[in-house]
Amino acid sequence: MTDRSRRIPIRYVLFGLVLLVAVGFEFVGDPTPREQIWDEVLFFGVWGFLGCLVLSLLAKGIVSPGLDRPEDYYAPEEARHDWSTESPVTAPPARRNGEG
Amino acid sequence: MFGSIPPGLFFVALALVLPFLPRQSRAWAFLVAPVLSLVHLSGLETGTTATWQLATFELEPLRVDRLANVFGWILSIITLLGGIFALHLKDTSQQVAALLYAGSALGVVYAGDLFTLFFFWEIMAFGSAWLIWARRTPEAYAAGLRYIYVHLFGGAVLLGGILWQMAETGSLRFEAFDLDGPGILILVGFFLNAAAVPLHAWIADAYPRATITGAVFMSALTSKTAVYTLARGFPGWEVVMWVGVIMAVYGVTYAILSNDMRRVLAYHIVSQVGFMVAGIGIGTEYTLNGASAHAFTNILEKSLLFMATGAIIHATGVSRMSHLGGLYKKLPVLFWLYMIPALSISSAPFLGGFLSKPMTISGAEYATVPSVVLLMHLASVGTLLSVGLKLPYFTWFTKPRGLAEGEERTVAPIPWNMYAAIGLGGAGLIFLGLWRWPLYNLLPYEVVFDPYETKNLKKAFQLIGFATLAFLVIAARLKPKPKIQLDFEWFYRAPSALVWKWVVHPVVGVFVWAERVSWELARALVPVGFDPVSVIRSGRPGPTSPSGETASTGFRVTMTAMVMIAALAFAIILFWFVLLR
Repeated sequence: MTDRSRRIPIRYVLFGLVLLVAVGFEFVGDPTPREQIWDEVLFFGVWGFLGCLVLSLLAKGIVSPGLDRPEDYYAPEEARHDWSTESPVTAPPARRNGEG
Repeated sequence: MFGSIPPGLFFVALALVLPFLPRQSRAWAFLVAPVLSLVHLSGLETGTTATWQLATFELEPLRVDRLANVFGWILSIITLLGGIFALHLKDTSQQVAALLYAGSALGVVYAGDLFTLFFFWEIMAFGSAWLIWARRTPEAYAAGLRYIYVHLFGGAVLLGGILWQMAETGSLRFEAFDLDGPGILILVGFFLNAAAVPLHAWIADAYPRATITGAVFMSALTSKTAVYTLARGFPGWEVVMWVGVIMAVYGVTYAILSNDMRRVLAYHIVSQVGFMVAGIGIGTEYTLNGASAHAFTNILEKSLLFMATGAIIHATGVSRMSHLGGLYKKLPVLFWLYMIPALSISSAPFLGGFLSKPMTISGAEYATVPSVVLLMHLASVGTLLSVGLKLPYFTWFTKPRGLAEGEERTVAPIPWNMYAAIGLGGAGLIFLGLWRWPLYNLLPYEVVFDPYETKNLKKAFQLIGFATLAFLVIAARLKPKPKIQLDFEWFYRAPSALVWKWVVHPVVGVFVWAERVSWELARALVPVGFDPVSVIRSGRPGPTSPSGETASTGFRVTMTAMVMIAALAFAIILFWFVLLR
């Protein structure tokens, strides 16, 4: 009798198969002449893996610390267009049968 | 069947008629225009034209060729799907705005001259702005104003370029331009609508604020119509290629960071349009085919993604990933419907997107420097990371966020028509992935790219497989935060406080002062008119009554006398000027 808790989830098995197929394509078909860097073995695997890390680092490590602001950063500016308060901007009619 | 009628006219005509139809039938009647357009396009032969004479100019509201047809078909298809998605909607103003918007987009695509193009270009701006305002929240109202200001600015630049072009060449024909004075102005006008960096900030500002159905139409129409105009007007310019590459990487970087689901998708539009713009800039038949095919599949994919995220907002009322999570138990079908366009847009094999973006990149491999190709592959990884992995992972999986301890998320039922539209579009992507010839036969040039070659399958499997592996390693670090990221919009939103203080307030102040003076003057003159005799005799009005009003001495001027005096004065002036001079 198999211990169910020790089984590998099917999604991991499928994902492993996808990776195997991805690597397996290197050995299928005519070999590509090595003219460019992307003709190297497993280049796209490495590029995909590193690309994901580099973009995450670029976003979270460089852009985010410098440019993150609270969600209400522009609230004072937007409040000027709030027709529920005193404002020279004319308000459109209230919502009817519309959607949010 | 319909002769040489511009397809956009079906939409505009229906927009004029729709408000007079019975209220319950309007949402269904909306579908008539795209259906008629598709029937018309199926019989419209390449080379068909229609001309109208306006003063000394010959306008060409219909010019059918293969490039225009790629966009004409997909814009009609997506308006039909958008109409199905919005069948539950009872807001006539949104339906009319969407029809005008879609009709104008088709008007731009089939315009053979720059005047017709500009006319429809501006209607598109107002139609789409209404789809933001229709949400009727203060934030949407402000975003709609910013959107229309930005697009009116872009329209003014475009008009300047058109007039300059006309003055220099004497022609209004919409053909490929040179990058000289007028060409640069026209390019900037097109770039703004294509959300080219740094003219792109409006897209991430406006699309998350639009109505659920409005954002679906907006994601499909404005930027993709601009892609068409760039493909027609500026193929083969290196500067266009580099702008496209920058857009592709820039867009995904912000998409990875964004918290609002529709903001993720909006930034991702910048990236995907970047691929198309880069393909146009490279300018070979191969990459122009790739850009056109990518526009076709991307319009479908992006609309479906906006539909799926819109359905989540409809069900939960929440659009920020920092306040979602754990939705798979509640909305499993929607997850799978979302994943079809999400995988397709990541160029997964056997889906529509696999036919198009790899074609552009493959074309780039033969025609440009390796750095462009590598950056495009990097942006492609970013697509998978932001839209294919991060958004669904933190929306449908992970622990629910934004709820009190022990609170269960309530989910409102999603209308059947929303599921139907996303399902139909998803089926279309699977169909294209398995049978590519309906798309490839539509493209402007003969297709030499075979997506199912071993090397293309290898690229796709390796990029997707190993990028997913990397995501699984770092997923916890990508958890969405309740933050926004400053972008180029800061340059016009932050100084707006100063503009408000130094420009708007003084102008409003003048109006307020003028109004106050008018009221004071009226208040002073009323007693004079009420009792002019006392004023003449004593220089002041007569005694007041107990109620506070000026008591008349009986010499009050009647209205008849006033009119007679005015008429007499007018007659004297007329007599003086006309007869005596």
